[in-house]
Amino acid sequence: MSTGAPARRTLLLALGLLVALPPLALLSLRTGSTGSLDLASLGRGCRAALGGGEPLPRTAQMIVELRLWRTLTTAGVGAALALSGAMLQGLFRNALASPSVLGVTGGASLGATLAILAVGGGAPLLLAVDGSRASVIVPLCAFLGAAAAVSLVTLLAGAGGRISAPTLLLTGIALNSVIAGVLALLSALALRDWEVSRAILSWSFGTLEDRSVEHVKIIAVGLVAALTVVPFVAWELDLLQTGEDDARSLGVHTARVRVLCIAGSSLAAAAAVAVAGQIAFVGLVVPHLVRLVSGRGHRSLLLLSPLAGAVFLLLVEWGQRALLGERTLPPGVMMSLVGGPFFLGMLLWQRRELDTW
Amino acid sequence: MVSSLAGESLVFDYPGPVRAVDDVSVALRPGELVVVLGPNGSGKSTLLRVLAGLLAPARGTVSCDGRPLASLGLRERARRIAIVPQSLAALPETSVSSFVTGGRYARISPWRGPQARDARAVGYALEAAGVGGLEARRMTDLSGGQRQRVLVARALAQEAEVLLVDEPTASLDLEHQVRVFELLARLADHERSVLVVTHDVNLASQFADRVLLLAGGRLVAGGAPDEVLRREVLEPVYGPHLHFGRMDPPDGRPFVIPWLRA
Amino acid sequence: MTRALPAAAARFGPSSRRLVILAVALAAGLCACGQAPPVPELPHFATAPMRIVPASSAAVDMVCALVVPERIAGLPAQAADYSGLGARGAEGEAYLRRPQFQAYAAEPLLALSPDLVLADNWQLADTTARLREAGVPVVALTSLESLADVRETFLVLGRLLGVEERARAEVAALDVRVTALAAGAERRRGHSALAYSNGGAGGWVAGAGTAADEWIRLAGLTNAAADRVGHQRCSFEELLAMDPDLLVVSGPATFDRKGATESLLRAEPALAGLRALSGRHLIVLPAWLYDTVSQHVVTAAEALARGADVALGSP
Repeated sequence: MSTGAPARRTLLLALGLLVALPPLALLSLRTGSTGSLDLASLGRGCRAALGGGEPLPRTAQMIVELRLWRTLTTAGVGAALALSGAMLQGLFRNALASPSVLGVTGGASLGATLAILAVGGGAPLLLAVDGSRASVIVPLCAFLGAAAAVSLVTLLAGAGGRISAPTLLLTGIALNSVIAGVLALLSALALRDWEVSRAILSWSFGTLEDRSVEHVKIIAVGLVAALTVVPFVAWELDLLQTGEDDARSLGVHTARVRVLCIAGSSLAAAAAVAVAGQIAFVGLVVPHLVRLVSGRGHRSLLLLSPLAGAVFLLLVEWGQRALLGERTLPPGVMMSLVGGPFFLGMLLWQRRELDTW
Repeated sequence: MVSSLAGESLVFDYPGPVRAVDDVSVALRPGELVVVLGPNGSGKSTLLRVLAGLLAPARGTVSCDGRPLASLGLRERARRIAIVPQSLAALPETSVSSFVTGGRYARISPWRGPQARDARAVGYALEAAGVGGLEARRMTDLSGGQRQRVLVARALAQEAEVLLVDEPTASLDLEHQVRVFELLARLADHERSVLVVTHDVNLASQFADRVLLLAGGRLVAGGAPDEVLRREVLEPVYGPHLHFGRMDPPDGRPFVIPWLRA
Repeated sequence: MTRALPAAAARFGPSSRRLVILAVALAAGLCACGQAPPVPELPHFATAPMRIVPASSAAVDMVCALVVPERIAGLPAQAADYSGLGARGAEGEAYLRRPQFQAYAAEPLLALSPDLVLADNWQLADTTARLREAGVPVVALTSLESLADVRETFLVLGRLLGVEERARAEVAALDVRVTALAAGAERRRGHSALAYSNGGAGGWVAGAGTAADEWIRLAGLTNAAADRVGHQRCSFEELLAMDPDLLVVSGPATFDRKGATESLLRAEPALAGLRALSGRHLIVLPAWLYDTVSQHVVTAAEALARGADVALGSP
């Protein structure tokens, strides 16, 4: 483990995030389109929702539950996307890798859309989870789409000494274009049902409103599954930073690490997309911010990133609701507005590094 | 006596096909320092990577303590063979001790994690490589010579019986070149065998127990430095512009310098 | 890089390849076994619902034609611009004064304590699901594509809302207007009309099976794009080839202050030869009327008929 200043900073960051999470969650629960709720009712409603105690009157209980699932989903999605991004950045040894830049969330989106169209029998629905097969099939197809995207990118970017950043980015751009094209094709084919086109378009904006307990379960499963991969890849990713041959000479099973990282990041990204649609930049920005504070060790990065991701998305989501009132923005739009400039800034700042391409 | 590492009739082709290693046999015995010499493109580094198990030979086998290398798992291999690479794909931003601890990967159980034994091994390795006081420094803050020694320390931390070293002096100044080779010669003791790939003929003369000369992927000569570093052996490989000499007694070893004939 | 692909593919051993094939087959299989989710039956009310929330512009038009404002618990904010309420004067105002919500989301709708929510079936399924879980009946209106659909929906709504008499009266009134339209259609017969829109990114026309097709037909005109189905793209070339007698475009709207289609048609030199651009043959319908999918297809037809009469110079 690292010693000295970075370790202290890491600890401080961890503590800071843990301390920030509950009040943010509370803030998120308190604010909503029908105004602020007081703590007592919130407490009662949440306890009842989680299985114990007396519920509030019908409408109030429902509203508390809506907010509870929304808050949990937001935290889960933020954590999952950040973890996915951290794994991809470690695997590709490049800080510009992320599930949205590399087309992973796009692949999950396409998989989910195809599944929705199939399962919905052509009816235009965003994931309407009613306990039917849809709640299993859609995340599964999202996972297949995400895994296919990452595998394709790994294949093309090559596995050698240094992963070429231009190849990585170009592959991601190409993949995202192809996916957008296929989605446009689906829209064009379904033009008569232009409601379908509208639903497909909505996918690209994402949504965190009106989530149900099923959504929370899906994201929890995805996140936990990805977290179980972490102990098997954390140190290995550190050792991979000096090159694949070098890592192999130390005894690291590089192929296994690659497969595990792909599986883990795809699971996390797919669960996030299946539950909330496409939300960009969380996977790019959050691991980068964590790295700035606690250094590049993956043992801390892979654990702090999900925590930071949850805090980050909760903060941004609550912030835009507090600022914009009822006219809220879809989370995908909101993150593009925040993350886009950040990404540009990062590109400029890394230009010195990138000059050596 | 079983060789600690042996390669039998090795052949390796790069896509092309370009034959980089052509029917080369090598046997390393414990306690010896073997130097592989040859001009650029002679296949020295490729041979090293085949011996390390990083490249699979098209023909021939590599065996470690009599067992085929291919039958050993990656961790098992890393416990027996350690490589000091010429350069790294990227210089990590960790501390020196963190970096050298990476060498313990193959010996640390994933369930129990690092033990006191591992910290001790890292300490010994740093001392043996002569970088004992640099634990807390960042890898990016080291000089070329220090970096080379840290790479050696990491290889030592693996506690492997075979050390394969790839061009250790490529970017070092004169003082450090000798120092590194002196270290490697010291490391080749009862339990350890060291194979060094280098283009520096004179360092080979000074420190090697045995010298192997590669040209065009083939092994053209092998033996004590005295036997290999002669005009009739080197001229066909390196060309005519060589001047041979001999150090004063009691050293008496041969040296070769490139010198344009008038 | 072209050599990298086969080399890289070769790195996937036979077991990995099998895994990929299995995954693809699984995905294909899942997509093939699609099945539409069950549509819940229409709810039955012991007493007529008194807190109704129409959540789409079509629902607003139809529900507000049947019940008094007091029974409307809330309206979408877009109702002001996109339904016929704005055209009903003081009467419409009474409805527009009811509470409004910005977006179709569960929380704001639940806060209105509705007995019944009426939405289009394309609106966010998750919200509909949450409302149903909360015990609020949500009835999804199917897309209204023809007058027959409108009549049927009126009658269904009549039963649902306990205003069957009123519903039948509305349907009857609609039929009277349709008959009147047919009566005056003689002079318009044989002339072609085309519903065209173009915001600068390509032109669209309304073919058979759209609301526009319906109001063109009710006005006694022929739809120049009747050979197409649904909303289709239409290039300038195709437009010139069709050269309809009348062009119908949408007027200014919230995000279309200047009436983009009309400006574009008049400014485009290539289209100068269109017959419909001369005289009064370009008919502009207010945006809400152009886009309506409720009983106001008849209102749109009437507006079109008036415009056509003026254009064709009838007495």
